[in-house]
Amino acid sequence: MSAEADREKHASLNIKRSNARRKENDVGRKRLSTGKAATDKGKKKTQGSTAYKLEDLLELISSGKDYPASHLMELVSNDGEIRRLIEAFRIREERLRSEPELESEELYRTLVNTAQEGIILDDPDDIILFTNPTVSALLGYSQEELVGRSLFDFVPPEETELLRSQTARRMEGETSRYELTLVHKEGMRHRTLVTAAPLYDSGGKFYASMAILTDITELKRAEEEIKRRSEELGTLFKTSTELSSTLDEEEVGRLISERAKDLIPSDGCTFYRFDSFSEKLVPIATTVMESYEQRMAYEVPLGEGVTGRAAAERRPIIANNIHKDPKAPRVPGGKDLPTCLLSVPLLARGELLGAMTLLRNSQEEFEEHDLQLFTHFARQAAGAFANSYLFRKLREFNETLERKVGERTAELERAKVELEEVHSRYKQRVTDRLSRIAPAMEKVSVGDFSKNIPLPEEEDEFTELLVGLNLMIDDLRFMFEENRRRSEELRQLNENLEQIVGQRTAELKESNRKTAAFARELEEMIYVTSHDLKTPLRAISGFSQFLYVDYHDKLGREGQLYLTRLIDATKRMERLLDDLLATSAVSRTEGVFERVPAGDLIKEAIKLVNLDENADVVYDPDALPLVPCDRFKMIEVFYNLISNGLKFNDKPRKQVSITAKTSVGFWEFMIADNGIGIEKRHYERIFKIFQRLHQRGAYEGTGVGLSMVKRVIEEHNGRIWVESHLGVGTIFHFTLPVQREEDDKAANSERST
Amino acid sequence: MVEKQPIDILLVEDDENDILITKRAFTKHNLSNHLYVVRDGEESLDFVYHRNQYSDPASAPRPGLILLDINMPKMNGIEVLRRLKSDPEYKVIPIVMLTTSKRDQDKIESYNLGVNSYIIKPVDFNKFVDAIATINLYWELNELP
Repeated sequence: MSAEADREKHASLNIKRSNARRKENDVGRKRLSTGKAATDKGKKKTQGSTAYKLEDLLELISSGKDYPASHLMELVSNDGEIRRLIEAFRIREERLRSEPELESEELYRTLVNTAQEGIILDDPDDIILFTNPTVSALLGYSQEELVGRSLFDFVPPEETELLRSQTARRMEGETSRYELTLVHKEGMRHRTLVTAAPLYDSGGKFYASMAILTDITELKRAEEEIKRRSEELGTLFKTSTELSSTLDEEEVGRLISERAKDLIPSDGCTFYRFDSFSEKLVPIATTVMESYEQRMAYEVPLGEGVTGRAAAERRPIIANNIHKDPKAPRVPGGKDLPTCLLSVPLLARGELLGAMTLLRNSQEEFEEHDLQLFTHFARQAAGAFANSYLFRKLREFNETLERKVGERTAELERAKVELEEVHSRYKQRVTDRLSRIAPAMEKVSVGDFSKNIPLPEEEDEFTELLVGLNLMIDDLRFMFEENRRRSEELRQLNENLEQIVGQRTAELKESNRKTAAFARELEEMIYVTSHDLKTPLRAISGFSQFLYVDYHDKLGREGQLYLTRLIDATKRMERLLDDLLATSAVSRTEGVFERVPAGDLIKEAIKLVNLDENADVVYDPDALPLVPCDRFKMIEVFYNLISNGLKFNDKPRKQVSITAKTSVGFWEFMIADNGIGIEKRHYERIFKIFQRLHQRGAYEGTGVGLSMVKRVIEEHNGRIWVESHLGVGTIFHFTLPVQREEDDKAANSERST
Repeated sequence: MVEKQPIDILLVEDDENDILITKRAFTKHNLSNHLYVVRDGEESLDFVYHRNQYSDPASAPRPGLILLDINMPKMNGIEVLRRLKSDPEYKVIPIVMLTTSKRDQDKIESYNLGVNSYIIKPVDFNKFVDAIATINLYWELNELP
């Protein structure tokens, strides 16, 4: 295709396009006229009356365009004109019917103009034939400005070749998709995705490429961001893997610095360890080759410079273009290049371990993103560094310890040698001195204090000891004599005392014996007397009764009364004598101790009581223990307690129950009755001899019984007490040892032999 | 069938009052037994063995029952009991001890020596009569052939 023909085509397209534009405007107006008919009509009437002629009108109609209908009747005035008008309408109709493609082109145009995608038509020489508004917005030029210019004007030099090869492919008839950068009027670059296809004219000849452009600049940016992030993450991961494989502090520092540089584009990174003793940041590694020696030699004081401040304040600090600030510190000996710094502290468990500083010798500033990434990296680095730090500490500690152990061992070795020398030197002397001491001490050990230790001619450290020992021997001698004198005195005193005690004991024994004998005599006398008194009493009683039986008729009422009183008195006296006999009998006999079932004792006691049908004695022989006792005396105890319970009893059904239980080392017996009870104030009195609580006559009894009972229980090493409720009953408690004292003694002696 | 002859009873008792009371008790109970009385232990043995004043067997028939007081001069009741119960010929004679007190220690000893029974000499005469009656009943049921 020749350039000539192209230009022609170009021109025709231009016409078509300008027609289309006009038509578009007309359509818009037509649409308006339907909505605002009245106003429009008014407007056009004034215009039409001056502007429109019939010829114009007919041309409008026949061409199929809008026409001012209101003027129609004004302009047509004869048949010829009407016929022309009809003809014009017929042509219009025909035309409109034959132009549906024109309508579709219209639609197509609308789509093209409103599309989000940019659309460019360019000829085989890449001269722009057509653009839509999206392309204008993309490039910053109007459609008119763009048409006729070369597409290469808007492509960066590095993509010229790409565009050329793509155009060549179009000529081959290929459709393709590729990415192309377009440069805006203002210099901004837009990355676009291009779908391009060849266009052919009706003759099948390639005359243009049509390119549809999608702006993917943002998409690309996002993609790159993702890629960068993924690389950062990769670096971080790599770093952590590498770091975990070494514990050497310098190696860790070097690795961290290198990775930091990889991670964030910079001209180098310096890694510092914080020395808490000097409060300085000591450089361990740097990737900055520029003034390397000075940089590694300079220990940064805490709080000074960007690094010192970041460490002191424990926060990351960005310092861009520090040499613009006259106060900004610099590495001594370093060159004054434009410098941007980013410094972060290294912290582990809140403890400052060190710091890292990134350096850019350009005006490219560190940004917030760099800071965040570096902070994150620092956190990871701090963990790794903490481990190596601890490892170093451990190693140092180990070395110190080893060294100290070595020193101490050597010291000990030296001390040992010295000690051996001293030892052998002293051994001789000690042997000599001891040989002096030995004979004296031997004597001292057997109580002979006559010999002192002979002192050596020359004084030495033993002299004092020997003198001291001699003093001690002197003291011992003195004390020994004193002691002997005192003990002699004491012995004499003791002898006297023993004599006195012996004398007193004998006296006491004699007195006791006499008392016992007297008591026994007294008991014997009471027994014999009361026994003997019974015989005359029986006579008095007997004969009184004979007198009453044989002679009461002759006695008269008064005589009978006296005699009855006499008989009663004798009966009471008999009871009194009986009780007296019983108590004296109990105390005068030395009974035999034997183990007796308590049930048997109670059975014997009940035989002595005159039980009538209204009285019960309740006991379970199987539940009662075997007690070591004087059988005869213990029967008396039970007899007295049972008969007391029945005697001092106003109930129609009198009852005494006997039970026993164990307490520690003792049997406790309980004799409970349902009798009249005893007031608390009498609890002690009832156990005294001849004490009666009641008027004679109310209850029989002599007041001897309980005193005897108490005596017997105490003889048996037991205890007796009473508890009572008036009107309810009384419980007598008494205890008996499970074992007799004599039994215990016998058992003990048996055990000991 | 021969009418049953009441047996002879020997009362060994030193106290005249007690002798009198015992005799009266027998009378009151209409006991027709002949009651021989001796005043001490030695005399009781003379009576049984026909010695001294009782050398004439007619004056001292073999007693069917002996009532023996414990407290006596010369030889007490316990000793008499021991002698008689150790003599095979006379140990079958029932011996009833007369005691002053039911708690008398001698009671136990007399049981050990084989006494047949005992009576507590009560001050109350009526009780004594009852006790004699009991002995009589016992004797009648156990009459020797």
